[in-house]
Amino acid sequence: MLGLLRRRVSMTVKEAINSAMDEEITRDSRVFLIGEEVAQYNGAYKVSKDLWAKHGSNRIWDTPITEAGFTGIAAGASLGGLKPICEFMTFNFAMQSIDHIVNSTAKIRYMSGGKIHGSIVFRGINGPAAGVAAQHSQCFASWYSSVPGLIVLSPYDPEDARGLLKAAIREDEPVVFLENEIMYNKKFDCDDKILDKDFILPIGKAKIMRQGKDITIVAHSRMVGVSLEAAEELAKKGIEAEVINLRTLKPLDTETIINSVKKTNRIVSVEDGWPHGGIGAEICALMMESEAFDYLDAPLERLTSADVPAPYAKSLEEIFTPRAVNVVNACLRVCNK
Amino acid sequence: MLKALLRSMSYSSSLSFTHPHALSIPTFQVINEDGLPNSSSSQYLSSVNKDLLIRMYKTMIEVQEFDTLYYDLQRQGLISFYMQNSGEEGLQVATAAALDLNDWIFPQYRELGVFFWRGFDIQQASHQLFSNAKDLGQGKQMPVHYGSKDLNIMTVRSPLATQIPQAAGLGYGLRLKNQSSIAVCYFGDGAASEGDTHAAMNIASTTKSQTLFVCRNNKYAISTNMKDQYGSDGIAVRGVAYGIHSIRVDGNDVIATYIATQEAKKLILAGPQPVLMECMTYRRGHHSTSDDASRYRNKEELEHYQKNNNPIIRLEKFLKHMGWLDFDPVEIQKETRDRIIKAKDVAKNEKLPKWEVMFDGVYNELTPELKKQKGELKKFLEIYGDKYEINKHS
Repeated sequence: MLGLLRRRVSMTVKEAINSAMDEEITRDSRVFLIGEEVAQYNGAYKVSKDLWAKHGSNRIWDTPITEAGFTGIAAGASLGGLKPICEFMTFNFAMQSIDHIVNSTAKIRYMSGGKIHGSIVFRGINGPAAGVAAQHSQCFASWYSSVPGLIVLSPYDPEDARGLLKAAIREDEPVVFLENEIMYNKKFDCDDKILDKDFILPIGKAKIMRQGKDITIVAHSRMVGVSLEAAEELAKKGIEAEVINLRTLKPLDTETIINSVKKTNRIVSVEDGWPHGGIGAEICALMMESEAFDYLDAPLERLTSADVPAPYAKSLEEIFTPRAVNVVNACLRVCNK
Repeated sequence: MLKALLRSMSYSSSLSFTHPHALSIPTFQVINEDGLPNSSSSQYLSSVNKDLLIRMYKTMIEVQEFDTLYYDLQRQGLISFYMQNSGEEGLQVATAAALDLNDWIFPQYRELGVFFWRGFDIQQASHQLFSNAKDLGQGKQMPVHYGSKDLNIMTVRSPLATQIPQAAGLGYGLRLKNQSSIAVCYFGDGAASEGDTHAAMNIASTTKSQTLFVCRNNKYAISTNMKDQYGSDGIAVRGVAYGIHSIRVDGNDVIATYIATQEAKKLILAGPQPVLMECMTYRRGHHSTSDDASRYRNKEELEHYQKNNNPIIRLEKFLKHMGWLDFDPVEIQKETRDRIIKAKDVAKNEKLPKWEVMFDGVYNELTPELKKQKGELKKFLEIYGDKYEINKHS
């Protein structure tokens, strides 16, 4: 009975990430944060606020500007037994260091016959934000998800952010943690269980945000919010959508997706990355290759950003990423309405 | 051949480590902070004349007033983002003045004076900032990401230092084609830390690229001060390490910067070989409108560079000293500001790029896939166009 009277806590996604890092750095002396502007400046987006003041320069390390340089340093440190949290101002800039992420940290365990490996978390903002155009808006979810040896996480709300980041830091693998700038300041009303210092979410497990019987909507990161918005609109039209928040992109929680499709028989995927080889493409393949195929009453439809580099002008930006109206229309089509 | 080999291998029988600051490069300066020529500067003054310096002055005022207006407009929400050039107008204009239009420019993002000097005018810059249908970039880039193929200026791109190896590559191509022009890249003291910078200068020295590397050492990279950015004697010494002719110059002294750039180009073409020029200056503004420098800088330092070591004020004092100040600086400032405001109004009232242009420029021509997507969007907008601001499109 008392369990039903849980206390609530109000928190932003940014605060969730900040507190998770703070607690893990306190808990394990091997954990440290490395990146540009993370120390005295408190982080380019203030995500590492107050961490330097509390933990000092040995644990919160400001680097010169060289993504290739500091990612290489972090990779080396992880192979030597430390647990770096390597922050990129945006994953767009991590393209300058992707060789270290993929060729070193992701592949080293395989190449050494299982003998050499490192624990490291690469985190930063990913995907389209607002008004930052082509070179700051690319979504790297599918690039990193395609690499064997990497774990790829994509949180939506503070519960996700705290639970998944703590899990990532404690994990003994290289993890790519994709944050979203627009979600940073969004405040959520959460169960206070997330405040627990050992609050960990399982990697590889999606969350059903909203139950439904008519159609499955699969999304990750900010698009989970867009999907929930669409689900409200669909409910008014008498369609009950089941919204799945993927949380982990690699390894993908295929079981949850398949079980949902077995119930609803229809599926739409939503992402704000490009269509070609995207997360939706992977889910599409899953529908073809698994028993879910026998339960489908209609083909999967995917919603993605437009197949162009992100433009800047407002007139172009507003037609670039999926909005609730697009998700609703796709669901109506898939439901044959 | 043997002599060269023997020269590069000299032995020592006493063990000693070379101190990191064994090579300390002085800063070339012609006029001091009071705008007066140094005692041994007279030999250099014949390289400049009244008309050239007045044009430099007026272009610097254009940069200054443009910055002032658009910083305010960003704060008012009229444009989303801006980066100022405050404090660096001098080196921008002085380096540009020593180059030709057939030299290729690879900017970073704080070189508006270079654009203005070469003919990329206030109106074009305004269109880019408002990202309207007249923007040469078709509304595809954030504000201040100007570029001009006609003026041989590569478009400003966001990732730091990627322009540096690209300038080395273009400079190499110019050498192969026997051209008497050079590639010039600009980068800050922070970008100089990037791996690309190392790769670029190292390779340029081996390929004898006709490239001028211009480092704007403005002492800050967002909040990171130079003491946290590098342990060397600045960036100029690194050129020497890569085997490149290097010079350090007072970037707030337009005369010294102009002369050094002229000589650098001569040296490049004589080699051919690359040259590194480190211009010492100061970033008076915030890194961008997303930054607040007051959090990490002190007022005294800022005031010094506003009042004393300010390229515009120093040039004005020199012009006065030479009796060449035949205009009223206040009038020039006012007239310039009026022109900029007029251009702003024109840009602001232009329509936005029409939705069709979103698909242009991914490739040379639309692929069948893109054509299909464009057709789908057309149908979609026919029904839902009212939910978007289609009436604002051109």
